[in-house]
Amino acid sequence: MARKYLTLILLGLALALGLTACGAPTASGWPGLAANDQLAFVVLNQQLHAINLADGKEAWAFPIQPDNSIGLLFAEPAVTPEVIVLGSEGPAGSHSGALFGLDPTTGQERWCLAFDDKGAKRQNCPPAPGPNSTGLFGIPAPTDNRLIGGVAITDGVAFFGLANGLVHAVKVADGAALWTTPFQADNAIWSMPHVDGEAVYVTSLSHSVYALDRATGRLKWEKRLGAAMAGGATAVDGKLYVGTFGSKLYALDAATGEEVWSMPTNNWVWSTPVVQAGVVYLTDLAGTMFAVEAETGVQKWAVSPGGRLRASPAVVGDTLYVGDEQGRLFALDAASGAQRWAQDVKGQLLTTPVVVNDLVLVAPYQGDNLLAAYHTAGGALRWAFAPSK
Amino acid sequence: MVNSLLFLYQLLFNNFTLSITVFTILVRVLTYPLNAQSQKSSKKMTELQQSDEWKKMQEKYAKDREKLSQEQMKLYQHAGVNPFGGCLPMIIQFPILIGLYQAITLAMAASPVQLFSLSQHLYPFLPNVTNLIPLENHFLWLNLGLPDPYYVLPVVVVLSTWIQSKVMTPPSADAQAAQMSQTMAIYMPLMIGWMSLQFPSGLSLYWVISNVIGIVQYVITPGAKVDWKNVFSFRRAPPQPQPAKARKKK
Repeated sequence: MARKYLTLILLGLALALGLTACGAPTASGWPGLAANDQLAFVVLNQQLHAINLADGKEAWAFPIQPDNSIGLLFAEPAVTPEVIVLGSEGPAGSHSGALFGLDPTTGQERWCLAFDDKGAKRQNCPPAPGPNSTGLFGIPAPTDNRLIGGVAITDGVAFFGLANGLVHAVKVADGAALWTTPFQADNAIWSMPHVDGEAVYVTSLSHSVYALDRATGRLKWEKRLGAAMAGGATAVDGKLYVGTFGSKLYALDAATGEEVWSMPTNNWVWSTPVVQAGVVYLTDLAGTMFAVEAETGVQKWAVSPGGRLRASPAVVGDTLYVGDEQGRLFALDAASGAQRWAQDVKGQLLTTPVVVNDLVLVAPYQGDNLLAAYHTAGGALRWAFAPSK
Repeated sequence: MVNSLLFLYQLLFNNFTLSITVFTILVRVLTYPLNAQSQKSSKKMTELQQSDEWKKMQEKYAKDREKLSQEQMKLYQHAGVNPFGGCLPMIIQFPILIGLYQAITLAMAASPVQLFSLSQHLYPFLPNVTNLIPLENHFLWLNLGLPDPYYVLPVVVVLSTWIQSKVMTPPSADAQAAQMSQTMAIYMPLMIGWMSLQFPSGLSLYWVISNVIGIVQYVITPGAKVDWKNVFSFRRAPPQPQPAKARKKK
């Protein structure tokens, strides 16, 4: 009899394992990466690690141990000399979302902000203002308040969008909420807003790009582009550049949203276009790296250095640094796309590299290390960091 | 599978719930021969276990387990019943079930990693498939990417799984088998219900649809008899007959 019960339990476990462990990957996002002159900040799963650039040793971690009340951390942290601003999905499984302000030298929490009552209670954070989502029997309706896309900081104000389609502005000094958009995008915001002049530009999975008034959050214009956008937009010299899952790069009039030009790509564009010296650099999921004239949309060159390219390139001087899904880091000549050097990094490079001092920092997803630093000249490995288990 | 699901989504007015329903029906139709064989085998087994010959053998060798299993095997062979005939088709279906589950999870793409993974699985020849992303994930009060906050769906999952297991498991004459069936009929729905508390409601919805289709499919199968009294009975399985008592009766 005992054997039969054991068989029954094992069958049940096999089913549960089959449906969960063999299913989609458990991690919800790839690492987020940022740096200042001394420290690199890398987030994955439930922790932010601050790593000394000089030797690759950990300076501090937030939280010190993985904590379910923080939840999964998604995008790169926003770093200023006074505070680091970090978004999360909220307490594990809640989809409540949360925003944290940390001390950049110690990693101590200075303030936090929740986006619904459930998150506020579980994290002891004040809730940000927003529409009440009362559902059946007075129980709050389910909303997806995860902060996935990252935070843009300009003049002491943090701007970010949530998966519920709302955009918030918060003072970075104390986390005080300044405004929440009076409208809600039809679908999730998974990208970092871009601030330029008096406008905040936000892309969304709803197939629309939005321009908001920076002071109030009111909608200036909305432009539907026919496909979802998970990469951000970049505004330079009156034009807004944005790539879509419809395999297109658009240049829009930043003041009105009217299309100036568009260019087809070979697959979905998930990267945020980078504009430097009149050239737009962007990648697509077919593995193509494009250089396009910002004024006219004429392609200067296109190369396929390796595997699929999710992340944006880091452009420094006359060199582009870009990582592919197969874990290859490339340094390319910005003028021609010619390869200068390449390095094998274990794991997938889905995060945009960060260049600081003479180092290229990469944060591989599902690799042996969480962070690796290579010399900009020649690509030799300087150090690598893996969190202790 | 995920491309078929997206194709259906496109055909069925961008309604993900409708797509899951039609997709589940299609998978059930495709796996019908396996299910029918499993049901046929279970029916034969039940008939055999209810026969006098079986009961006599149980009483005769109640104290000698080894001999009892030898005689049972002989009886199976004689009656042309494969004792694993009911399980094997279910085991074969297991990868299909996992595939379907993964396809639904992938299609919902609730996180960047899942969406990135979905982008790798899309067939380029499917027309306008990228315009469908992300899928419409609202149904009634549900956000299909999140668990049901009102716990209505997990309750329906438990009930429908329980009814399905009761419908598809006819009462067994063998006390041990009956007790095992009853235990399974209680614990499996509870376990799946617990899982549906954590999982996106789109998957819970799939479980409910799959259960309802499974029940309907069983009920309309020619020759299948459903004892509805047994289905809604909460009585415990009768205790296993004691060998000593059996001898006294003799």
